Amino acid sequence: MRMTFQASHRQAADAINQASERLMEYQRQVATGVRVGKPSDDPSAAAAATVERARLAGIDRYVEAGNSAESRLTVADTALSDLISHITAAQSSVLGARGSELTQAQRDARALELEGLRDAMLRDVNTQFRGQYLFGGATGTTQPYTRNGAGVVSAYQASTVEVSVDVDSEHEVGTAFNGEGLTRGADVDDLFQVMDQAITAARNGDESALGDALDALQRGLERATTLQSRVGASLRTLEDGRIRLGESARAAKSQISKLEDANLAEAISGMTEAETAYRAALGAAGRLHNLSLMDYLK
Amino acid sequence: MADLFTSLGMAARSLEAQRFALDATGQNIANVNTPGYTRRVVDFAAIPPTSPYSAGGGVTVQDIRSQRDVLLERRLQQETTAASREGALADALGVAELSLTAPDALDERLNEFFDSFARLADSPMSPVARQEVALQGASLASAVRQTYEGLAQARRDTNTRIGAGLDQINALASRIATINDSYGAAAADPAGLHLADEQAELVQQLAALADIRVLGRPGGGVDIDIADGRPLVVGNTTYALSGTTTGPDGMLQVTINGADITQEITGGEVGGLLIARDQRIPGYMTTLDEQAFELADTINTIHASGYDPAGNTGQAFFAFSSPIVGSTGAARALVIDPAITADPGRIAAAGSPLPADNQAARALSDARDARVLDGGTATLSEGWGRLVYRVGRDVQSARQESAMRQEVVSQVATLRDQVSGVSLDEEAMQMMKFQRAYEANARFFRVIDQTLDVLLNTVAR
Repeated sequence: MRMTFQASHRQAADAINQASERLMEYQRQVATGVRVGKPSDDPSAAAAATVERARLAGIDRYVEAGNSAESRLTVADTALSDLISHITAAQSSVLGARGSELTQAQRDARALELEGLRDAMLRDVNTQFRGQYLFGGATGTTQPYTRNGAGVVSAYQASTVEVSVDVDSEHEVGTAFNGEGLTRGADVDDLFQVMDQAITAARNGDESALGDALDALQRGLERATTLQSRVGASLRTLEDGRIRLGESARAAKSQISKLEDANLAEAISGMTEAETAYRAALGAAGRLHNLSLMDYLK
Repeated sequence: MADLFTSLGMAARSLEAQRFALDATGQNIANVNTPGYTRRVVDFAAIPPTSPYSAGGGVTVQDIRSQRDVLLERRLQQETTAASREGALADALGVAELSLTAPDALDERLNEFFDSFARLADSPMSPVARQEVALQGASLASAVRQTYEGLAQARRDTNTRIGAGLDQINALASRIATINDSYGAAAADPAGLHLADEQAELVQQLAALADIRVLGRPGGGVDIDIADGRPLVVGNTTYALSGTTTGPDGMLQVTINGADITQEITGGEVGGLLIARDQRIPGYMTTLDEQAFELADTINTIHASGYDPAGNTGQAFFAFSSPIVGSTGAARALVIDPAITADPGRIAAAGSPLPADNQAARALSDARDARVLDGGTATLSEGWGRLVYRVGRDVQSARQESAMRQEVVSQVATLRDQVSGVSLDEEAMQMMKFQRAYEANARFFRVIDQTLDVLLNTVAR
């Protein structure tokens, strides 16, 4: 086989180029830590990473929504605890207002106490979070109940449509509740009307009306407790979801890293190997071209 | 006496023959790096004796030949055509691939867009959240347009390269025809070998540009067909390729002798570039159009069913800045609706005419997971991933195919060089061989000269 000058030169140049290209590729991986810099480096990995990044973005969105919902629900939980406490106190006051042995002054004192509790309940139901009423449903900034100058509480003015947010692909939690459902439910009168009736009954010593008010307060207490249980369940959902989403996010990040990132140990080892091959190709080319019969001619 | 003078003549002819061979060796060494040069070999022939008392007339140069293997040269042309096509395809698609890997990549914008709707669902009455949705929508539309424009630019660049390729083909064809013309005068001349070398090199360069068929001409030279047998060079006549700008996007239509051969050129650099320009890149652009159309349609359908804080409904979120046909033109024209841009308060977050309702915003955020592409099998992100995969795979396969073909080219070139190339070691040996022969013949000449001297001195005495 004749090995010509051009052929040996071309083969040496090809070998040097290939070794140099491999060395550059490993250098890029080591320098950037990224194996897949463009889709053609590994089309399957690039496409899969795109989908994984979208999944991770979705998870982050749920985490963000969950964190925001948790703040709202915590405030709602506190407001409901206060409401429950005020209803319980109102029940005690109504019970205290019953009995024929009470003097008018004592009845008036009970009535005043109930007025204070009614106002406290009004504050509870009108609780806001970042400018929006938590028990105002989908109207947001419309105050659920107002009180006029004479101290009379209005009818429910906000929306009965509740607002929810998605906290993962399967779960949603309420973030703004139906205030009317809380204060009135299936009853004819809402809590504030019941409290007004109780105040009047306490002043008048109307045992029958006080008994009715007591029953209505009990139903109000059950509604508040039920809603608080819902809020508590939502908070637990968020907590569980946070753990689950955290694991999913870690898995997605790990998957993206596996798909796109360079295995540094492998890349460094490859770079060393490629450098050796490059040196060998250079050395071989240099030595080959140093040898010639021409050198032996005198 | 006569015999001695004959011997002197024989020595002179032998010296001339060895000098000629040394010349050929020198020519080989001088052209060791000349592209297309084929090694010259000198054929010696012994001159037969003219009488029974003569051993012979010495040596003469019968011929000087080029060491050439036509079959290997043809094979090299074919492999070069295939390797060049894949190389050009890989280069053109590599440029298109850059559009998909820009820092402002479309998938990131898509994620940010859906995230902004999730934030709006969390705070449906927040003007800031609405503003962010409008900004992210505009940013996404801009990313779609930029990606499309990147692909369109890659297509235009490819078209420019095709134009340059046509110019090169015409220039090479013209030079080949000129050499054909020169053959008539030089056929019997040693310069014919140089013409053949130069022409072979030009044909090789032409084969790298397009799929050609080479037919040898009686008496030297070649005729060349291009594409599906269209004459390009016939004798000293050239049929030039023309690039005519056609269509609204200004792409070149390749014609020869009035016939459109754009679809016929499938090999060489121009063939690879045509495949990239007319098949691959438009395919990516069409897919992007479909994705942009589905994005707009999905978002607009949900958005139009929602309510803005003022209770208005029926507003589209995305619009197209110029008319589209089906989905064609959707990516280039995708914009956020001007009414939304002017007043982000018109973004519909509610599913009912209640200001804090977030049903529409939730549905818009959930559209991230809606399977609206490829016959309901892929989400918008997955559709983008499929496009990324398709482009990446095309570039990777073209590069792998190019590398493989290049390896074959290298192997065939080595085989050709084994026949036609110059080996410096071999030429050094040839040089020594002819030098020694020259020295020996010179000595023989001196011996005859001295013998004549002896004879003449004897006669003179």
